[in-house]
Amino acid sequence: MLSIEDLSAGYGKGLALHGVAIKVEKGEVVVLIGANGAGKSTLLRTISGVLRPKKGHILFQGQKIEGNKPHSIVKIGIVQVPEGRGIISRMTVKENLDMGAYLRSDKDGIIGDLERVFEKFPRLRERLGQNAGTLSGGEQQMLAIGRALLAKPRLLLMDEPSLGLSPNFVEFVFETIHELREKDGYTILLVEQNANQALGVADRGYVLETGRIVLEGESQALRDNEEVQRAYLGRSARTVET
Amino acid sequence: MILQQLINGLMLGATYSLVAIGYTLIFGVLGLLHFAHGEVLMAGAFMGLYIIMWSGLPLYITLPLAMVATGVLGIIIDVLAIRPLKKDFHLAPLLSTIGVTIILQNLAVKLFGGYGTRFPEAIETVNYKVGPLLISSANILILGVSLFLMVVLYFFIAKTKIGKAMRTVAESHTTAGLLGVNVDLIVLLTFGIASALAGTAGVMIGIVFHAITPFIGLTFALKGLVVMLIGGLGNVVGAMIGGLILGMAEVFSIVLLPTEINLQDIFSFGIMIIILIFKPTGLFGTRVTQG
Repeated sequence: MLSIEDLSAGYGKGLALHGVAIKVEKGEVVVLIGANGAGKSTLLRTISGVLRPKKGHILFQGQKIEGNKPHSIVKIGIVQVPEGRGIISRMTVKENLDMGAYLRSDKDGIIGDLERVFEKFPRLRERLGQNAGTLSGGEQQMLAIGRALLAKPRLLLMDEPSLGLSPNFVEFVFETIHELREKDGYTILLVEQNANQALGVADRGYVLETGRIVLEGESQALRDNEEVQRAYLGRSARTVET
Repeated sequence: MILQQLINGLMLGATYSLVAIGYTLIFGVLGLLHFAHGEVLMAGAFMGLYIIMWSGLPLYITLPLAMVATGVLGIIIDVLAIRPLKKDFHLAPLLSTIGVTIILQNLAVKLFGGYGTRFPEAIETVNYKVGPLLISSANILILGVSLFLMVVLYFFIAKTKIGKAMRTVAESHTTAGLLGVNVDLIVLLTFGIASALAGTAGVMIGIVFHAITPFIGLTFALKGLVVMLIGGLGNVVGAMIGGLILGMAEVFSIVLLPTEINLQDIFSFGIMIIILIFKPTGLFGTRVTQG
């Protein structure tokens, strides 16, 4: 579905990604793990068109999309839940959700999808008229995910969805991701520092170090890999089943 | 007497509001102080003048035409003077708009001369006596049109899809893009709307003062700026109400203060300073956390 070849990108003159190649197949959850500054967010920003690649190709369903503007990338079905959640704080929860369906005009479809979002996150329904800036971090993450779902993503990009949340909400976010894949059949490319839990919900993973893919494989194989254990899971890490 | 001044103040304030709304819209979506906004108003006044003279059509047709023409001018300014600049140097667009100011002003002097140009009688001025009040048809027109435009704009921004997209762009270009908003198009549209409002104000000023010069931009740009600061940066409702407050304050300052020296501007800038001392975000502004 998504295939990235030899991608280099960065800010200013420096490069944050050096010849990165990854693949995401339909129905998969793929996780990118790596330390702070490894280039995980840069990769997602480049896929979404926020950043122009310096070199390489991004293919989505066989179509070259590198260099396209962010809005046209959303139009073809790649939707990102950005780092820091990207909530529009001066709008209500309802208006934020409306913005998720910005490119859609199928009113009935939107209403149906809105109901499904409320089923997943009942708390959003309670807070519809509230200013989104007043929500707690966990609620904002629900809103950000719900808003992205309203855009009818074919590929969902999630940038550190568990960052800065309380342990309960971290658990909830990973359960949600699991459910999105198992129940709703979404294809997800996930960026996480929380490697242990992320590998728990993912089919495959890539390890990014200073802008290069250094390791890739099935989630279980990555969890069993000694280097991954040492660097990202902590030495005494136990695998956690979700 | 007081009621009479109230009406005069509202009328003056309504034109200030129109100018300030434009400032605040552009500041909202680009974080840019559009220095040439006053000159856009001036250009709108001259375009209105020529549209009225050449076409001879009634004002309800010529005013919308002038609005569209000024809106197009605003869009051209965005495309030529602001968009090509790198966003990384945030002073560059500001300086660029100062350049536009100089270009538009000198162009106007070249075309129309540096002295005042008589504004055609766009409407027949009739004075209505309502009890002790004297209200001219020009007053009614200006108040009516301004309030109408403000109400329409308010609902446009609050309720429509494009209005919501404008607010999203104002909050974050990145977030807006990731939601599927064509950010460049929204910025373009914002320039169009802001400039059309300034053009309306320009034509109205022509109607009230009967003459316009290439230099009227500065005065109204400054007042619009004061109003934006009073109302709170990027806040449309604040700009509307701030304009009315400033207009009334100025009119009452003429009535209440000695007229031998011009205390009007001291008064209006004084009000701004006092408001900013006690509420640095402006009357309706909120603190923005930088993220």
